[in-house]
Amino acid sequence: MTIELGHFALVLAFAIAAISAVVGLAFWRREAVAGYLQQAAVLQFVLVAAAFVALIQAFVTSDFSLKLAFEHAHSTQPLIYKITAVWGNHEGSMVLWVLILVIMGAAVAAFGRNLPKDLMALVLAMQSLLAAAFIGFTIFTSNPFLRLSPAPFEGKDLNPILQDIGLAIHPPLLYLGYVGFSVCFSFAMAALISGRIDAAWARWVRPWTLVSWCFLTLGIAMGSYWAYYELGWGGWWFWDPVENASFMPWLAGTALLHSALVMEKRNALKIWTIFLAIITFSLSLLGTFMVRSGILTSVHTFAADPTRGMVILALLAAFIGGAFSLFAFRASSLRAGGLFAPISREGALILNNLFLMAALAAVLVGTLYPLLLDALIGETISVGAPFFNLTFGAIMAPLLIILPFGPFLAWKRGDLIAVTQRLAGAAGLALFAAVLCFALTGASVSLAPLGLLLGFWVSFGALAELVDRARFFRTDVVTSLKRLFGLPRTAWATALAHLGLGLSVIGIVAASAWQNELITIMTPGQGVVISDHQVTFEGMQHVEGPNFVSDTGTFSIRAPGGGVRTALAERRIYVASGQPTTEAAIETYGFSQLYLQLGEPTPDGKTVVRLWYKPYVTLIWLGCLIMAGAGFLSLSYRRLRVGAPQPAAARAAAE
Amino acid sequence: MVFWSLAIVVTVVACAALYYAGARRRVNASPAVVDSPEVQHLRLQLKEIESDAALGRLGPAEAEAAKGELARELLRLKAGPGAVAQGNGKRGIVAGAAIATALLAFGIYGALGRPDLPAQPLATRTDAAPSTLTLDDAIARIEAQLKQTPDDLRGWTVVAPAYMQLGRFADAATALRKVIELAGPNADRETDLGEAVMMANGGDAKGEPMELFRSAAARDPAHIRSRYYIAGEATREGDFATAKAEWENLLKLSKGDESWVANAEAGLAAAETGLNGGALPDESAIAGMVDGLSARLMADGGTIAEWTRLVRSRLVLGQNDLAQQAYDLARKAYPDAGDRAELDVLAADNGLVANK
Repeated sequence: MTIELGHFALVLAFAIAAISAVVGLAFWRREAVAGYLQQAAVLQFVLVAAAFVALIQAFVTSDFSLKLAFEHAHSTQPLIYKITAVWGNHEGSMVLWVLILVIMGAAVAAFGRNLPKDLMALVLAMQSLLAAAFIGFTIFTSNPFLRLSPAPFEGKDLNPILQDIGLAIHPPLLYLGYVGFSVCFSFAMAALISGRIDAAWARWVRPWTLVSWCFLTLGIAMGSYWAYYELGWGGWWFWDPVENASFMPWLAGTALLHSALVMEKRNALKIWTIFLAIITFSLSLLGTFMVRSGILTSVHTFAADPTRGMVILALLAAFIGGAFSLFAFRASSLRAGGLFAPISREGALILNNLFLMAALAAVLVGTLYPLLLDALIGETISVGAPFFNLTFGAIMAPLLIILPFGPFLAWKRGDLIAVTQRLAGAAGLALFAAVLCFALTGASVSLAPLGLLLGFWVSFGALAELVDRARFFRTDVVTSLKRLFGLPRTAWATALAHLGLGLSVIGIVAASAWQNELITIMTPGQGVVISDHQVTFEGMQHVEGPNFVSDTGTFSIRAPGGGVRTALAERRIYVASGQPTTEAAIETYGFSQLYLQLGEPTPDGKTVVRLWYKPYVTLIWLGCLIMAGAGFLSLSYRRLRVGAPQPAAARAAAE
Repeated sequence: MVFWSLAIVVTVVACAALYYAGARRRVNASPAVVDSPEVQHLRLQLKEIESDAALGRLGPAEAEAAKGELARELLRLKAGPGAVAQGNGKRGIVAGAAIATALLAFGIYGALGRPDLPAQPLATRTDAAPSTLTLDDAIARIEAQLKQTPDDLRGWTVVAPAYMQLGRFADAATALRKVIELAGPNADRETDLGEAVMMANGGDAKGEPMELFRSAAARDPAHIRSRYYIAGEATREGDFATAKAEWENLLKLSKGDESWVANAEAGLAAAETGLNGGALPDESAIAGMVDGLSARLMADGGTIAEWTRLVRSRLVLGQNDLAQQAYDLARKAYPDAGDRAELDVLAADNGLVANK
């Protein structure tokens, strides 16, 4: 009965969302409606959460009378994978998507007491419209609550690649990011419908953008690391359409984030912010469409069903088309914000937006062009990494060059020459570091030195801003340190986020330029040397796991600095599905990693082994973590939140 | 009933909450503009301008311009859109919406839901009625358990005959070896394994199966099944002296009314004929015996083993039409597929059709 109650809860949530959307959009000027919509948002959350819990309960108890559980669970799975299997499939992941959507709606209702009632009503009406559309899509085309009678005795098991802790982390984080931008979208729609962008609007959009952006950053980084260690190719980014689908909202979201910051502080870039809010969420929807429609084939494609694809395409067209039409009709009636000269902080941020949009366009073209070509004239072409590396790299390089200038420029009218002088130290240091690296490692002719230089430049430029604001070298050290720790958290957040980006760039360049790869056939007892690491193959064992059997290779690794470690690499066969997977052995030394993967065994008892040494590869994800952490730091800064205690404000303002 | 009661309670609570949230009166419905959050926000922005100007992030002239923009913003806010409409008839809208919500929910659930189906978690289904449990499911489940507890004698003992029934003779042999390994050999277990290996080898008893049967017969001199196979194999190989002795031994062990006695007597007769230098019954005689069996089965019915023997004989004689006919009748006599596993395998191997 729990399953059916969960089904009923989901249906009731749909009904509440659908009626709320109609009532909200028709009567948003009436104050009573705001109260109704607040209650409706909370109820949608409670009901969808109940439906989700009902699904989890059915999976955990192996109730195969639920068709979804039969198709994606197995009674011998460990508990954690029984739970994650709920969203390791199309239907369940739609429920997770919708759950996060209604969490966001409920959060707006709960934290938005200070919002003007009509704005609140419009935002919640838009959220309800989105919820109704996607709960409706779930119920009518991909119902997770379909039943089987009689119930089969055993389930078909979850795709083995997905039986990993990554499935517990990556989708919820990514969805929090994707779907979080729906709030920004709803705020943008509300502004366009009501025809005004007031101060409350600006104050509200920034935290939502920050939260979503942070989660999206973490979700993408986690997805990248998961692909890196699970798929066994040793790569961390493949410019796969599905990856691009999550990367495009990130690029747009990054632009939105910067615009929203300006808007909150200076009332400028209002139209940009609205435009970016629409673009960002549209790209989230596009990503959902690409992944869910079955036009792409990857581990994310759970089922190729043309009906679903058409329905999502229709929803996509309705929301994106509607939003841009509204933008076209109403944007001209919105007042633009404050005035500023071309060379100013605002100007720099517009430049930032333009570069990010251009990079976004390059990725969008590279992702959609092959799909469109295939759909229209049936010709299959492949747009691979070289295209993206070239176009995306060519657009990002100038952005990285100008990035450190931004935070140094004054608002409204800046002095570029003065800023250049202040950044000279950072530039010199970056050049020195890059040259030093290549002098020590022996450089070959490539773009790597320039990439490394960019990475150092962005990192040192970010730190230089802190040094400059604390007035190091211009006053005594104690005063400077006091100033440094007295700086507002937003200043720290800016510097840390840019530092994180710089570290990621360094990691990408180093891991690509100095990676060592070795493919060899090894017999037990044999040893090889890769990048000064002595790797010895100790032997193979047959190991039985809970729902798989595995051939586990044991390796001992002697690092150049001394110390021996044992690493285990596996080739698994999952019993229920008979599917094989490989589990790479990854050993981390400092920021570098040794990556070891078992290949096919040869008939005479030897084994193919692939080894990679990836210097500074962890900096890629570490940089992302720092970026996301900086976002949360900025979010924790309460100065601009009205009604909040302001302990740091007095000191910061006094400076 | 319980389900519908709960569904109605949930819906009524939700709709009531919606109605009261929309219809309740508000105190201070339109707060003074001066203290509104927007004004406070502008005040904070003013502070930001001053601090930026002090830090040199904003030039003096630009700071003045920014303050001017802020002041205009404040004026616009005060002249702003005014109070929110307090329209009459709001209760009507809210009540209508709540009722529409309830109707929509029950309408959709009524079309999609299966309130009649109970939950069937695995824990409550392990002792499910056999009719809902197919053999494949049962075996898959036992196999999964045996993976975790490979020393479970009972599991292997249960799964081995199931494999035999499904014609998975090699798996059955593996399972039976495991049984012997865990429980030690005895006459029955060795004979079972011998049968499985023999079937896996396409019915050929030479080699390991014969050794197992002999070992079983040595362990238990009164063991009938193993002796039966030994006698049969000796007859087939033309070692008629041994065969005669074995059949006679076997018949001495019988009480006279067992189903195998007729076969043993036929075997003994064949062995004696062979010993006397006579030929084995010729083909027409065999055909006559088969026709006799066929007539008896069609008139009086018989065991599934007899039907299987009839079908096999027809196939050996190349009478495929008659084999098909006998197979159809056997299917009619034994409609449960579980009873005729061996027959179905035989039929499928020889291209007979399982007619409805």
